[in-house]
Amino acid sequence: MGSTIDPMPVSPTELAVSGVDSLEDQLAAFFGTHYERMTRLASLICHSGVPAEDAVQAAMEQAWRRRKSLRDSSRLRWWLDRIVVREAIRMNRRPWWTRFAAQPMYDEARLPADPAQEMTAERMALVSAFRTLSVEQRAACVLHLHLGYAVAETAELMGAPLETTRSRLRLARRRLRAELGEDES
Amino acid sequence: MTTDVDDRLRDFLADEGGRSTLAAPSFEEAVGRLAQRLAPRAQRTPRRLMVILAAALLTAAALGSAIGIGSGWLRLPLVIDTPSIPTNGDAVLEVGLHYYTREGGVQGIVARVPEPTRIHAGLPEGWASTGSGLTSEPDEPERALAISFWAVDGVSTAPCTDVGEGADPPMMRTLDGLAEAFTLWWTGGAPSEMWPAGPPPGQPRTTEPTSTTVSGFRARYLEVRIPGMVDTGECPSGYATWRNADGVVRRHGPDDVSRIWIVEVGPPDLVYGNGVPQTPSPLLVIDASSGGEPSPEALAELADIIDSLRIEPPRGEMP
Repeated sequence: MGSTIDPMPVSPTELAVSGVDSLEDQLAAFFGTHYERMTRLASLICHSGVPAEDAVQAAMEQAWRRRKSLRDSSRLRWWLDRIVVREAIRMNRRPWWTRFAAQPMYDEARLPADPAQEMTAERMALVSAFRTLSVEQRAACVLHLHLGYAVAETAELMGAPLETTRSRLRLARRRLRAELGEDES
Repeated sequence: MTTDVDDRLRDFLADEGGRSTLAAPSFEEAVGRLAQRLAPRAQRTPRRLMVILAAALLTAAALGSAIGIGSGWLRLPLVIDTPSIPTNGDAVLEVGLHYYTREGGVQGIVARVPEPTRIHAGLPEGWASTGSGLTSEPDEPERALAISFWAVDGVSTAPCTDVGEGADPPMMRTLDGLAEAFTLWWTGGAPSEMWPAGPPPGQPRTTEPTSTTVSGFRARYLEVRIPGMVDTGECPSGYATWRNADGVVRRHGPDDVSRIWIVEVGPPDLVYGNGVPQTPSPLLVIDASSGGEPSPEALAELADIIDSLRIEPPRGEMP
């Protein structure tokens, strides 16, 4: 308490755990190794909402401040993913009164970067459909379908009951099918 | 169950994930910003003043809670803690059902029963404990049947809009009161005292509660069905149906079915004063949920599991 918190080293080491002594060094190295992955995770959850870098920044800050609460360093990645996911959800959760506001129209300017200009009809449809999901549904889809976490793990990462997570996935699938014009099967 | 939409979404997410990192600031930039945010502030409120303020706030909160609990204005909560590590085969869950009560007739002092509730369950082949409950086909959300345990603290009167606090009258402290809360607000579609013009679209439908026993304790059984025809755009976050004592909200999706047992985990004889229960027993809600109607085989397995449940109520001084 009251001691100065040193900023993490700018040059990350290759691996977070081996050969690194203190938790601070491990965490700093881990940030460096997994920064891109964290950005990808936050970006997919935030999508066109709050900028992903803000969510990652907030998550790194949270992780740094709460680093003493990490009991098992072998679960560092899990722990950090959980913080990133929850920060991304928290920052993108809309106040209830905004639900009555009109949904924004398709806005290409807010889409993720597309340097190759590959705005195909398929991508456009999926971008539009994915945007209709709630941030919690997007997070469940990203964790389960993209990162391959089991549904129970997804639930734990999001801090939600298993049944709620399952319902979110079902709701997301149903919504996407409807948006993409797929038949229910 | 892998679906076509899953495959399309996987490809899309892999593609989008790659694009997203191109636009993000570099790690060095991020570290620079983080260092600024973590740097100690130049001026801080004197520590002594902060301690005094915190102590004053805590005292005010404690007094307010004591008055609220003593007058019956606040409901004494039941809390389900983080459960134990998953096990296979016969499962023993420690759901940490805690009971709060007054001690020695002194109003406003609450005590927590030190031991969690233990639930022993015999699991058929293909079932597993997830830590927070029991499930079949844990990674196939469309087909799975899952059992979870709740200390319901509030039932939402408008689950679709998710804007209300939910209703939580004192009568929900009792077995029949909680059963009534589910059925009174979520009717079968007919006009009722609560909804004279008929329930609004999107309200869950429930069956009438029936009396039963679970693990030898008095219980009520009812079924909750979420309409499937409602445009999901109307309920973008699903249906916030009830809230646990720890604040976790149960959300349902369209076509979800929950088979619910409300179990009075405590002494069956309540003490009544002026017709109002003075020492309500802790209630455990068992939610067996599925997306759509489960198969007859799954229902048979569910019945076996419910029959196998052995609930050890929280130990300690009970009212």
